[in-house]
Amino acid sequence: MKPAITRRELAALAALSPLAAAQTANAPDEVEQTRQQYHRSAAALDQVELPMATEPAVTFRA
Amino acid sequence: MPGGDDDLFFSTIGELNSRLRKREISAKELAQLFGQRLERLGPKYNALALPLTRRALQRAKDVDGDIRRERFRGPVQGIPFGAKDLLSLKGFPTTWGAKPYQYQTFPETATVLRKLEGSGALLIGKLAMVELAGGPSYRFASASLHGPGLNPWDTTRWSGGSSSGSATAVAAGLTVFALGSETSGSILTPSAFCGITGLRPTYGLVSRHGAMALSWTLDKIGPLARSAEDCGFILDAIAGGDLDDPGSSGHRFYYDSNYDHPLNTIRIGYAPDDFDIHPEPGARPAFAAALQTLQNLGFPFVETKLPDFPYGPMLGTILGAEAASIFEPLIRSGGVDQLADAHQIAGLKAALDIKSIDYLKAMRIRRLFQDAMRNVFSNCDILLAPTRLGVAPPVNQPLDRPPAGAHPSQPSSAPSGLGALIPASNLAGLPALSLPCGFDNGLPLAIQLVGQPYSENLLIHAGKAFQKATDWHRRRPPSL
Repeated sequence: MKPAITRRELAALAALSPLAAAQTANAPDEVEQTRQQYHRSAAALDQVELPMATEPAVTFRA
Repeated sequence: MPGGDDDLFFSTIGELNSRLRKREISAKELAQLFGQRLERLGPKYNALALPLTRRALQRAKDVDGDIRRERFRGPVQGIPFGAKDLLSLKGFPTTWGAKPYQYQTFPETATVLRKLEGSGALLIGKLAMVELAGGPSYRFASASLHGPGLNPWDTTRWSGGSSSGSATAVAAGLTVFALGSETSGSILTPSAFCGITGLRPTYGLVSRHGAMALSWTLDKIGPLARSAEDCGFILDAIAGGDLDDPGSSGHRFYYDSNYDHPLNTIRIGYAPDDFDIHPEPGARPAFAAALQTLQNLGFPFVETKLPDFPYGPMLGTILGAEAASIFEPLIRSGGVDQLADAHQIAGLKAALDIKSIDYLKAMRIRRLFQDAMRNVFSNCDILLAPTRLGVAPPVNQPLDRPPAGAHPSQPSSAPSGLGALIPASNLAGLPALSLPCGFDNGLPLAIQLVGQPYSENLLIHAGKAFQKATDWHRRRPPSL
């Protein structure tokens, strides 16, 4: 009896799922793109005029 | 007062507490009924990470004994709840929604779970979540060990994240309330998409000891529930100082159910464009009606806007740098490649290269921004905006796609008015309350109220007034 769906068809369907699409993305490109995004964020932060006395928003307690 | 069984599953904490005290129902019966329902329906929505009904039933015996002896421990006593699976429970798996951690266990129970169980609440299950609470970013709803969170209002739609299972469980009547966490939007977004009430507490008010860390300076734990009042009951039980959490402020929170500030003295700051122009077209009538309801209640309205800061770059740099430091062993070992979402994998890998000087710059700008926010609150007491500009997106749609109908002149990176309120209020550590306010095409919409640090009683007071005048928070998905 012929199966309702062949293994090849099943693989093709799986490849269409969002998860598979995410996993088969070109990872090195995506890492580099994200790295560039962080560089752009840094450039945006550079535009803010920052008084020298401004301390970071972290609290250290002795 | 609810009558039939279906109503029981959608009762508030106050209603169930009243029935428990009158011995109309026992804690054991509640744990059994909700536990069975969570185990039966939770998987249908990809909401359940770990059932704990048997454990809850054992504890329920003690709770019933206490109630028989009139040892009342507060409103959450005997109430079944669920917890996002980033909170540790001694001896049980805590997966953080991520394959690399699917078998991990911890020797201690998270402080918030200890506190709730100490108040007699019954933990009936750990709830699914987006892997690593979303990490720096993720592209698909499927970014979870448990599969995409499906929305009880329409299972072709996303539940929202990263507290996906927490919101679904409350919306579908699988638990009376749930705990979630928010770094930037992870309580408010799923609360809005699932039509429930969510409270993000002030940073430092609730201990994070035993919770997965994503960003030390942004992470908060808070309730997702059926009403603003329920959020008050839960926050009362979980808030307070904890020496085991270095970010703990030491503040305590007492829910004041008689808080009686006249509404006509509580100034609401808003931007008209957030209601008229920025939302998806189908959502605008509900947001306009919510605005009208609040105006009819007597709140004075003042137009305001957020100060001009690079919110996206600030949040992205801080969250990315802290997450990369926390998950450095996972990233360098290659274990990160086991995550489900390629965008999240790339985000974590790339975040290792964020320079310390950029992180510190973002944290210094954050200090300037905090000062600027204090000025915003000199003109108003609460900020109001839509929680999200539209309804839950289709479950297979990339999450970085702009919403349909979004105003073309308002790119998401630089919104006007209060459009950046979620990242901005998280950066400032401010509390927020998300309230259901209507529907678009059968899917829930919500507004958010944001206040000054430790103003939770004020937000809940305003939220209760809104929920007294509307019934959106009492609506339930049609199939349930």
